[in-house]
Amino acid sequence: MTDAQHNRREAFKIFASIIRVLLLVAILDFAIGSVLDRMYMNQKSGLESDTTYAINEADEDVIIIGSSRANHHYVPEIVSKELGMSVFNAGRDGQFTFYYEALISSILDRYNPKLIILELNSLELLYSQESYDRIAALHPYYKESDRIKRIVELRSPFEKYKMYSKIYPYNGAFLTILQNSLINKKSGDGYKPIFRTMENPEMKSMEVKNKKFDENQLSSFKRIVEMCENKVQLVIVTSPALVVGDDQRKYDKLLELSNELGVIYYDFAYSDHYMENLQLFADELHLNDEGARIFTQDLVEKMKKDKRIEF
Amino acid sequence: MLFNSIHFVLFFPVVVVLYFLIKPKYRWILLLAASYYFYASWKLEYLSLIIISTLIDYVAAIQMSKTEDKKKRKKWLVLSLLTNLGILFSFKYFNFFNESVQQAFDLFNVFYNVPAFDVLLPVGISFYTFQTLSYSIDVYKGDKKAEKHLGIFALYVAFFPQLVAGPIERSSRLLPQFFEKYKVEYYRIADGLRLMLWGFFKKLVIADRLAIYVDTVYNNQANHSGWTLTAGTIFFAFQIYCDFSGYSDIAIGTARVMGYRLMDNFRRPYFARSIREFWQRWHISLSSWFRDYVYIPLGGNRVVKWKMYYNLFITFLVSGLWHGANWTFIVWGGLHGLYLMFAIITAGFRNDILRKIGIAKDSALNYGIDLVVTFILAVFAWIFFRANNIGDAFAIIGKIAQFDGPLFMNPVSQFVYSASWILFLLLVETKWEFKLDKIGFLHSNYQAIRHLSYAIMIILIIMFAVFDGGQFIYFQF
Repeated sequence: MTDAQHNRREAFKIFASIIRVLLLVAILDFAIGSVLDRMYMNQKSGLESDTTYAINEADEDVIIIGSSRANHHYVPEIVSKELGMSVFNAGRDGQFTFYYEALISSILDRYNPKLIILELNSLELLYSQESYDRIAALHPYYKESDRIKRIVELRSPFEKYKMYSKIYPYNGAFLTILQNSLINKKSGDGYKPIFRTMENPEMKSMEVKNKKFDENQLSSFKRIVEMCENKVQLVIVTSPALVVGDDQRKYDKLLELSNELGVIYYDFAYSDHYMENLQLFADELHLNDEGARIFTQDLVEKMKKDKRIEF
Repeated sequence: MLFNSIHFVLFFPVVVVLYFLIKPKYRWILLLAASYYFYASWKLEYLSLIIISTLIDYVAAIQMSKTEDKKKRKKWLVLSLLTNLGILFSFKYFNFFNESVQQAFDLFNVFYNVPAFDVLLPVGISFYTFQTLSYSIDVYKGDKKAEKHLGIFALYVAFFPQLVAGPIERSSRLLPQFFEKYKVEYYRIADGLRLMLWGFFKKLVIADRLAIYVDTVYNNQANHSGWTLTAGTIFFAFQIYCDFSGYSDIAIGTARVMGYRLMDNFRRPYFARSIREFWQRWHISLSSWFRDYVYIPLGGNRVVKWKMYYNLFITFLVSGLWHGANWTFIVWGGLHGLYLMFAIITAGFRNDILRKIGIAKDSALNYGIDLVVTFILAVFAWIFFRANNIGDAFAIIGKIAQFDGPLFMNPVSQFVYSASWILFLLLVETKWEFKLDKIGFLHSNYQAIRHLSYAIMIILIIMFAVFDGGQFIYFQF
């Protein structure tokens, strides 16, 4: 047998083996991915179940959207009582503008709530790799809409190919899905209180001078405002925090954008009331339950007085 | 280019297919071009450093081989050493020494102000520098003939599978392989791919998963308890092992697919019964490099006892410094040197104790004790390796020594994953260490089982890998 014949024969064997293995991978991926998909969508508790609810089922009058700061700062029960409307808190830990855009677009595709409260901070709009990594939370909803597809594909040019796998959207989530499927601890209105007080609370400085705003996040924010126009009343809120950037101009970005786009913006970040009562904080970024209740009350009072808002 | 990137997933099959399609005598051109592309895709400018090292060492070796005059040969060796170590020092150590000198002068209120060298550390510089240095030294000593083919020699310096993180190959092993005509061989290619798969699993599923917990704990040590730091340190021991041995497996597997046999770099180091054995199982290519080119030239163990201890300690200090320009690495190396000195000094005494309490040297109990003690010593030293600075390392040790406080497990799933994968790794390695061949998955004699095992491994990677985990730890060295 010549070298060429030998090489051809061996290459064929390798090729055949690779095909066999890939076929097995495809079968396993489909079977396991389908089970995970079913389990994920039927979770009884946890952040993921709140996201699924917000995207597919929520029909409340008021929807609160944002990161963990939304999730831990806005008490739906108080908003509901004061405004006489149903409220759902769809805030989710560690999320950024991309997630908010995906959620708002999915909600508006189904119905128009009366009010959307979007918790946001100018510093969130600065570029961070984390904001792209966190888009992974939207993987299970990739096929829900073209907008979500576009957002997910911001992560990398290869993301759409990875999505051919049925397991990949649930990467790293198996135990959480299992836990949330077995334990029924649904929060009901989405609010997750923190019951601790920060030790030695003090203002922390954050280096932002050399950081740039992320064009993708700024566009995403603008699209959120556009989507809500003529459909739903949008109120942007920055809730109290003990973190201050070292560049005031960066901090003012949200105010500047809100004025430019004509959207209501309330900044509670450094309100004296909270700065003088540091026991209301659980850590530098989050209020505890007591702080959250006081803040929600303050916010509702402010909204009630604001003639631009029609309830 | 990172092994754990889509870029590499596309690059590698293209290189392999082209490699087997072209005539063997031209393969070096493809491999050299691929290797330079592999490196340049990280930073094109730094490719020039590899090319400078290559040219200087090529010329120096040729010149050394042309003369028997020891003085002339030495001149060329010195040129090679100065060039390579000069580049390494400038890019890796200058700022560290500069800062250390400044701190020392500050103590005596002496004004000293030499500006820092503001450059990025070239990836893998310590690896390819040591590889090419060993070649120059071997040619100088007459252990190796100078390679006349510049292209092949350039490929030896830059061979992409092991360019950025080893194994640090010796010229006598690797150079001759570039002249071989490798055919397409099913079993060899399958062997290489299997090793790559296991390497990817260790890196993406185990190391990067453990890194999440370790980074959270070590980057914020002040807010974590003794138990959490203990868990974080044990996790780091496995993280760095899986990260680096994972890289080595991918590198060895990649080369194997094309026919080349790189040296083993790890042999289940946490099964070592002593620190000496640990170094025969951990980063073998580096430890043998230091043995051959530092320890033995210093006199090795064929000297009076105190000099041998000195040689040992110096070798480990230099090994620590090789890892990074930081006191943490130097202390880590020094600690291992001390461990070895202590082991040699107390060997007789420890044997006496064993005899007195009736534990046979080859008993399972003694094996277990040795294993645990060696692991604890290695893990203790890792604290310095991972800590952000010496102050942090001592603070961590202080907290660990208290053995109290809550165990951080947020989210619980992250902790459970980490612990489970360590257990899985230990089960697999126990099977390999003790040759429990009855249970064969990846290496089963049955093709169907082997293929199913590969598929399951790939599924586990898709399901549990951390795809945003970033680069390999050893790239920074």
